[in-house]
Amino acid sequence: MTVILFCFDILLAATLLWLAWQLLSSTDIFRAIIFFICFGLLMSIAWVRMHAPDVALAEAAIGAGLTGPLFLAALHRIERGYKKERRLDQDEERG
Amino acid sequence: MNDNLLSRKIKADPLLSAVLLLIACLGGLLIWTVWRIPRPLPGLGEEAAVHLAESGVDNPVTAVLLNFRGYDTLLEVTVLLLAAITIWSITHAPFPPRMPDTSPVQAGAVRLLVPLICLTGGYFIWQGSYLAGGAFQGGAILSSALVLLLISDFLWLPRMHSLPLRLGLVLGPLVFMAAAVWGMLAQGSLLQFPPEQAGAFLLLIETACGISIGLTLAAYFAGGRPLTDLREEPYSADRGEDGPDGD
Repeated sequence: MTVILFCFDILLAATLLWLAWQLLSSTDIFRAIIFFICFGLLMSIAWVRMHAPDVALAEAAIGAGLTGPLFLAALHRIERGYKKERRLDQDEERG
Repeated sequence: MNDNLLSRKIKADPLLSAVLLLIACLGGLLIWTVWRIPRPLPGLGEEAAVHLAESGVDNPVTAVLLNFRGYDTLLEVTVLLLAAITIWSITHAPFPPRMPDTSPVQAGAVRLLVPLICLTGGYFIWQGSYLAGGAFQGGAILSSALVLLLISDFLWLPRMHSLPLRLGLVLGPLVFMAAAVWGMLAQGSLLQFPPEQAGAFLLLIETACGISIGLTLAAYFAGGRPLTDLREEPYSADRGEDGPDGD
């Protein structure tokens, strides 16, 4: 059992590091936000593994659940303001 | 491809490589320091556990957050309020939003989900006294219900009167400060609660803070001061966009 948990912890830590690198190196902000939300959800599992359920709840609710949509809303406003400013009819770069 | 970009930049920019070297050194130092931390960890955990009975709650985390170190939490709640004030002073909320494509399925699902989410949030606030939970977690869950309403064209924020909205935002800090001052007057020290009434005090503070945190986080999402805050009258669709009441 402890071996399985140890492997799970290693996998979790590696995934967190990979997600962090992906979100920091991503040039597409939308993609980065999605990575951020995934990071928050996995981080809350990590908090549970460290026996901190209070922090895990706060991380899941605020870190992933609320900050992600907050970023998305900010991105939406930035893109809208940008479009209004430039008045360009180009297709959105994001596919 | 990102790696190629990065490596090219490193070759081109000696400053960046110096910074990366510095970060690597600091990271190594951090790992070494964490490795050297003596075990068992020194801390105030046992101290908190010994005095748990005086705190009025059974969850040590809540006891520390609201009773033993209530000052920090009071300041945290105030910081949240300060952020909301800052957002309001920067810009207006882009309401009414242009979201005509809310499907009836979404509207129906929201109608079913919102009461359930509110119930869950309230339960988390209540649960904070003996299990993991509390004002921040419950408040965040409450705010998710409010955000869900906002993105589903239920425009509660623009239709809300300015005064109840502002009262809701400051309710938590106000109740917390009132309790703190009461403790100072009755017990002789700021934020000191008598052990036999502490449970009721903490529940009152948590409930008020939970409501305020929910409203505050949803106000962040709305992204600015609601237009009705200037008009002093709730927004109604048929009144159109012409300016404030000048008659």
